[in-house]
Amino acid sequence: MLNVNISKIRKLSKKIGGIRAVRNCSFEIKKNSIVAVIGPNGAGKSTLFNLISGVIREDRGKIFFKGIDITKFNPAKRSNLGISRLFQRTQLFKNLTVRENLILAIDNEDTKFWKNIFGKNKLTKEKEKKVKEALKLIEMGDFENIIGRDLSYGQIRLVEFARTVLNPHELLILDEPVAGLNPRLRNKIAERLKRLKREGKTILLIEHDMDFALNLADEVIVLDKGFLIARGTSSKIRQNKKVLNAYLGD
Amino acid sequence: MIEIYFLHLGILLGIYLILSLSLQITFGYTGLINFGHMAFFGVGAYVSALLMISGLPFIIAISLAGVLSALTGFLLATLTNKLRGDYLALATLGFSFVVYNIFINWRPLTGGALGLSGIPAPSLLGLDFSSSYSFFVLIAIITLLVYFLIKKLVDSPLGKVMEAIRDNEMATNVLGKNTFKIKIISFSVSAFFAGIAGSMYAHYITFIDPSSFTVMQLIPIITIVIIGGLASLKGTIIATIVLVLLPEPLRLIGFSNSLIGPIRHGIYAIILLLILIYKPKGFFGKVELE
Amino acid sequence: MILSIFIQLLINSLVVGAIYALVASGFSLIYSVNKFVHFAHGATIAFSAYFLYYLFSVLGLNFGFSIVITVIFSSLFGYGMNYFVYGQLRKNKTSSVMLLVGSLGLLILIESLTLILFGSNAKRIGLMNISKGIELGGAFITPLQIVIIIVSILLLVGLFVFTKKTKLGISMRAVSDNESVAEIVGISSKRIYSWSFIIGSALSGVAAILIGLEHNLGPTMGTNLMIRGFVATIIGGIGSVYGAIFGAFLLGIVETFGVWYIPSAYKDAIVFSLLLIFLLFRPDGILGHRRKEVK
Repeated sequence: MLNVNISKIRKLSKKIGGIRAVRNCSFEIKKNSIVAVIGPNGAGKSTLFNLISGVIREDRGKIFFKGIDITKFNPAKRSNLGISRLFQRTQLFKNLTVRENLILAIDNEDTKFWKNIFGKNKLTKEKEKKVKEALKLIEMGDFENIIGRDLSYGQIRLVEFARTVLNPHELLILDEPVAGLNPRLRNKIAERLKRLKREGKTILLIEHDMDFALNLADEVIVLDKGFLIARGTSSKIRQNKKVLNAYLGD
Repeated sequence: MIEIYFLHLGILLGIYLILSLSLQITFGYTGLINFGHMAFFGVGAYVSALLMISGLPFIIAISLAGVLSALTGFLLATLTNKLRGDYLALATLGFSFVVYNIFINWRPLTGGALGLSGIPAPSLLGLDFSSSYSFFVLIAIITLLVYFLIKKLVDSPLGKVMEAIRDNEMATNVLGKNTFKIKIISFSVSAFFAGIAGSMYAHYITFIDPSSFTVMQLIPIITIVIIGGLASLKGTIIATIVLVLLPEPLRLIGFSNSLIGPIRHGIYAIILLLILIYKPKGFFGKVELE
Repeated sequence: MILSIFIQLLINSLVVGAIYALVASGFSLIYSVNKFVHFAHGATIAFSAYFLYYLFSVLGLNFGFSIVITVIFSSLFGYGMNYFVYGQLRKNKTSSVMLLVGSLGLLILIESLTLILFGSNAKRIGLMNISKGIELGGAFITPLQIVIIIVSILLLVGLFVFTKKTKLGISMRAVSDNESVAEIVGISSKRIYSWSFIIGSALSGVAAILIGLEHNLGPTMGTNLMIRGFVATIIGGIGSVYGAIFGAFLLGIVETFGVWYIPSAYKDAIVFSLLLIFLLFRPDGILGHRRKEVK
C-alpha cells in the first residue's frame, strides 16, 4: 500500500525545564514535499526537530516514519532509516578537515573494525564523486583539507549543509540552513533543495528568512508557544490572522 | 656494563611507548579520559606472569594477556558508556582503584602485596630472550608492530569516527554511527596493547606487585600524551623519548634510590602542570580538549 | 555483649564519619563553587599534618601555637594552589576535565614533595598517650575521640551558619548556583573562588590535626582521606555540601560496620565499589543536583 505520508507525528509533547516546549502536536508530512515550520522565537520549532531526529526523548506522543513507529529509536537508528538532520547551532567536527567531515556522512563502512584495521576500507569512486560534487555546490573545493576550526561561520554552515545532504536520507530536517549566507548562496541552496525534492526527497525546514521559507515551501506549519496553530499553503498562511497575531501580538 | 644500562633504557622506552600510544587511542582520538589505563597494564602483567609460571608458552601468555586486558577494556567501556567529562574521569579512576584492590587482596592468585616473583623470561620458537640484548630486540619488534597497527587504525575511516566522537558525539550519532560500539572498540584496543605492554614488563622485571599499577604510575603516561599533543602519534613518540631519558642524569648526580622515585614523579607533575598552563595543545597536538 | 559491640562500632563510625565530614565538606564547598574536582585537597591534608609534625614534634613549639599556625598554613596553601595553578589554568578557558587533570598533577607533585622532605616512614605526633577512655555501655571512647566529634560538629554547624547568614557565605551559594547571574549582581567570582579554597582548606587543616593526633602520618594519608571525602561527596550528592556531610557519616557507618563482617583489607574495596555504583547508577547522589549536562 503506497503511503502518501513519509512521516506522522501524533500528539507529541515535551516539557523542558518547566516550560512546555511542544504541546500536543499532531501532523503528517507528505512524501516528496517541502514543509516549512515557522513561528516566533521560543515557539518550539527546534525542539520539535530535536524530537523527530531523536536527540531528545518525548514526554508523550508518537512519531512514525515510513510507517514504522520510531518513537523509541535512538538518533543513529533514525538516521539509518533515512532521516538526516541539520542543527541550528553548529555541530561541525572542529578538529577534522572539511573532507573528513563530509566523508563521515557518506561512508557507511567506517564502523567495521576488521575491515578498517586491515586497510580495506577505501571510498568507492561513486562516493568520491558525490563528495567532490558537494564541495562544488558549496563552492569550497579549495578548502577540502582545511581544519574545521579554521573556517568562518558561513563556511561552517555550508560544510554542515553539505554533510547533511551527503548523509543518505529520504527526509531532510533542516534548522536554519541559510542563516548567515549571502543571497547568491541562498539561491544555490534553494535550487539544490528543489532538486532534492525532484529526486524524491522530503524536506522539513525551519528558516527565519520568511521569503526563503514561504517561496520554497509546498506547505507551511505554524507553531506558537508549543502549539500547532495553523497549516496550509504559503499564500493561505500569509493571510492567516492567527499567524499574524502570533508574530505581532503579546 | 654500560651497554646493559642503555639496553635497559631502550626496553623501558618500548614499554612506555606502547602504554602512551595505546592511551592516545582513547584519550587523544576518541576523547575519552581514561584514568583506568593502568588497570589494563596490570591485568596484562598478572595474566602473562601467571600463565608462564604455570608452564604455558610465551606466545600464549602474551596473547591471552592482550585478550584479557581487552576484555577488561570492554567491561569499562560498557560500564561508562553514558558518562562524560568529569564523571567519566572519576568512574575510570574508581575502576582503577577497584582493580588495584583486587590485585592486592586476591592473595591466592596474585600474591597480594608481595606480588609474584620468578617470572620466566620469554622464549619463542626455541629462542630464549632472557638476555638484555635479546629482550631489547624482542620489544623493539613488538613496539614497532604496535605502532604500525595503531597508526593504521587512527588513519583509517574508523579512526575518523573516533575523532568525530571526541569532537561531537551527538552529531556522530545523528550521522548514523553506533558510537557505543566505537567506544567499546576504542577501549578494548587500547587495553589490548596496554596488556601486551604489561606482559613485556612482567617478563622483563621478572617480579611484579600491585604498586606498579596505581594511578601514580599513570601520571608519566598522561604527561607524555599531553606534552606530545593529543591525537599526535609523532608527538607521543618524541615526548616519550624526552620524558623517559630526562630524569636519568639524576642517577649520575648520586641521589639515593628512595629519592629518585618521588623526584621523577615530582618532575613529571611539574612538567604536566606547565604544559597545561602554557601549551595545552602540547607540542604536536592538533586538539585542545574543550 | 552484642549491644556493647554495636555501641563501640557506632562510636567508631561517628569518629570516622566526623573526620570524613570535615574533609568532604571542604572538598564539596570547593567543588560546588569552582565546578571541578580538586583532587589535591588530599594533599592539603597530608602536607598540613606533616607541617604540624614539623612544628610540634621536630621544632618543639607549643602545641596550641602549632595548631593555630597549621590551620593558617592550610588556608594559605589552598589559596596558593588556586592562585598559582588553577587560576592560571582558568585563563586558558580550560574545561573542568583539564582542571581535574591539573589537580591530579598537583596532588602528585605535593605528595612527591612530602616524600622527599619527610621520607616514607610513619611519623607520630606524640601529644597524648593512649588513655583509657570513658566507658559507655560496655564500649570505650577516648577523650581524643570526644574532642574529634565535638570539634567537627562545631565546625560543621559553623559552616552551616556561615553559608546561610554571612554575606560571603551567601555569595558563595550564589556563585555555586549560577555564576553568570552572580556576576551581574556584582559578586566577583574570582574573589569567591579564592575564599572557597581558603575556607575549604582550613577545614581540611583541622581535619589534618585531628587525624594526626589519632593516627600515624604516612605519605599516602592524604590520598586515602581524599578518596573517602570524595566518595562521601558523590554519595551525598555532588554540589551539595550538606549532602557531602551526610554522605560522610553514612560512609563512616558503612565502613566501620562493614569491616565487622568482611576482613579489613577489603575496607578499601567496599569504599571503591560504593563509589563506582553511585557514579554509574546514581550520579546525583542522594541529595545533590548535577550541573546541567550539555547533550
